[in-house]
Amino acid sequence: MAENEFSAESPQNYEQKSICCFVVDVSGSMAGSPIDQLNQGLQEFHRDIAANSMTANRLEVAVVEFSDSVDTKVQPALADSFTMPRLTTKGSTKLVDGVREAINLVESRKNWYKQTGQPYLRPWIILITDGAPDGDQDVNSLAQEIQSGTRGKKFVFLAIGVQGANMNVLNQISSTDMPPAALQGLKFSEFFKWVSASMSVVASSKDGDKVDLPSPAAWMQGFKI
Amino acid sequence: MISIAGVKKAILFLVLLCLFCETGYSQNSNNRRRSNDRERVEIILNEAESNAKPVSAANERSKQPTENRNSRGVFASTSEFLKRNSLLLLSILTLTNLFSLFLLVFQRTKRNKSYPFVHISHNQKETQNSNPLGKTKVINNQNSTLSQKLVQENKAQLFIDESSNIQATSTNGTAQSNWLVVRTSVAGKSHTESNPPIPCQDSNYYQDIGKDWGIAVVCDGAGSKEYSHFGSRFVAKRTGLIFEDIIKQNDWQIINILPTQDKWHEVSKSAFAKIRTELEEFAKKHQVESGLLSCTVIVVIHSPIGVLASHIGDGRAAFCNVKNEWKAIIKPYKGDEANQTVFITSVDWNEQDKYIESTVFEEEPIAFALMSDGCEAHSFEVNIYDEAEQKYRDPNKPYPKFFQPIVATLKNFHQSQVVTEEIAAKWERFIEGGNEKLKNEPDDKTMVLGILIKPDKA
Repeated sequence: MAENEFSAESPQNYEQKSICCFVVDVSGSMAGSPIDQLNQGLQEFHRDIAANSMTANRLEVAVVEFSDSVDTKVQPALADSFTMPRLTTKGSTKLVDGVREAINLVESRKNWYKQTGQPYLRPWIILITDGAPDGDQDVNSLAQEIQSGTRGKKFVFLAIGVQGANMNVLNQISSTDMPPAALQGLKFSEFFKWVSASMSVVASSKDGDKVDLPSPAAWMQGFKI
Repeated sequence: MISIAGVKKAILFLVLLCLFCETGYSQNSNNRRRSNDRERVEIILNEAESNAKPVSAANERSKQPTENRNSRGVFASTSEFLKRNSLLLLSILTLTNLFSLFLLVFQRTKRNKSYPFVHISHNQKETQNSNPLGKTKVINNQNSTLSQKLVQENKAQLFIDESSNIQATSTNGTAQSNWLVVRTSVAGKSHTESNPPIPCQDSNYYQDIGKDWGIAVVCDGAGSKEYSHFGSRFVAKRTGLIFEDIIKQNDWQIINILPTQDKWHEVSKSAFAKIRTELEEFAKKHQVESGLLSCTVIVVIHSPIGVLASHIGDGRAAFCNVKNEWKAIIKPYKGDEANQTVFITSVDWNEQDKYIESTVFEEEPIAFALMSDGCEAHSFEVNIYDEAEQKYRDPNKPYPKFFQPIVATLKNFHQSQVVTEEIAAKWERFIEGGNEKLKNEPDDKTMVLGILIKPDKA
């Protein structure tokens, strides 16, 4: 039988991994509409990444919440290996502790990838907060940790300020390459859609230094066309 | 790309011209209104008068338009021309203005489709803006024109042949070759779906140099570097030509001998150093930082007595021996992160041995293949789970079920005398989407495949 075209079978290879860790403020001020919208957004995000073939096999997700204390609600896992929890609000805002927990989480996950020989991409840490950290939180030391982490290409850090957030603090802890973004109202749905689309781009990215992400115009305050 | 400053100037000029014409139009329409009124009065007067002078009335009317004409020289006639045709001109100019505005908005929209502050590029100037979110990726206009200029100049220069990226060759040199080589570079899904689309940053090259020796090259431009597609084209061609010189200078073909591993490594290092210098001169000539032309490079030389390979960066290469065994001939350089590698422009030349790998295989090849990393997961085993070690690893193993069928198909096409252009087109279609995995690959894909077609085996 004469073939008209080339055809061949490809081998089964495991995919390279990437990890996105959400650090979520569940302090009292997030109660009501903010936390409801955020939960809705997280659920949609989970559905989106499970449905996308690029992210379903490559993107691990983790969720760390902080209020009076810090709690890892989702350990790093692929979309089909975890259920996205519904977060509830509690007390104050131990933001520094929350972000530090996330930094440690992604670092240990990367070590695990290295130990088990799995190729991986640079992790993302996304902080979502509507307030300011408690007075006893050491913002300066966190700022240094984030600056050295991003400069050392250990992770990518993005801070999202929800209404009422102290953008000065977020500016202080963020790297100049990735300044904080203010959410338009409670457009969590749009934000998480952007995150899942961006993670899809990141998961298939060719070069760690440049990622052409989709436009954040739908959810970001002050983004001008 | 259209320069924004130029568009703004054009709009300003057109607006001024519009105003001039509007003045002319309103003057003209006033004049027409006045002349219409006058005509009506005249007609009424003429009709009121006796019908004895209908001709003269008509003459009066026909004279009317001429009364407004003044002969005041060339400037006056131009001005008159504009005033008379001002309605038409006004419409044209309004449409042009709207189109220019549309372009202006469209350009800005296109630029901002990328999230601004994730893109880190050496050539960008960030706008000084108190709102950090307003920091947009400003593509320096000069770079846009430079990009166009580079394209034009490259097309004029012989050593950058864009058409060479898609080709099937059976003879390329002066002597009849027993090798049939197909090669193609196609843009990956993430490139074509990007807004604006990113050009294919892969390039390839092949040259038959006689006596069944041939040189194949694959280059993969750095994803983050703006002009890496030019860099990869330049390096692919120069690598092919420089290594051909090396083979001739060393008489390996004539003596029919392959170099030792050490000798091959030495000549490869000096060849890559030369290519890098040329790339830097090329960058300087076009006033571009050489880092923006970054790319990887793999060179494979096949001969009846064995195979030579040398490379900087990632990608894969293999050959098939007379026992039909496919063997990998290079090990890609990978950084800590999966998508990191080293480029010809980033090699620390004091540590060349760390970044340049050269190999010699003294076995007769009957086929060979080399590719950019976009094709590696679809043709090689590159990430498997080792149960015994409880670990994932890269076996760097060419997948026989990939290579054997395509070699057989290529042989069939040759035996069936399918024309080379048709074979080339089929090869391109295969790499673009010959199976689901190739089709969904986000990265650029290049593959060069060569097979030996011996007359007695035909």
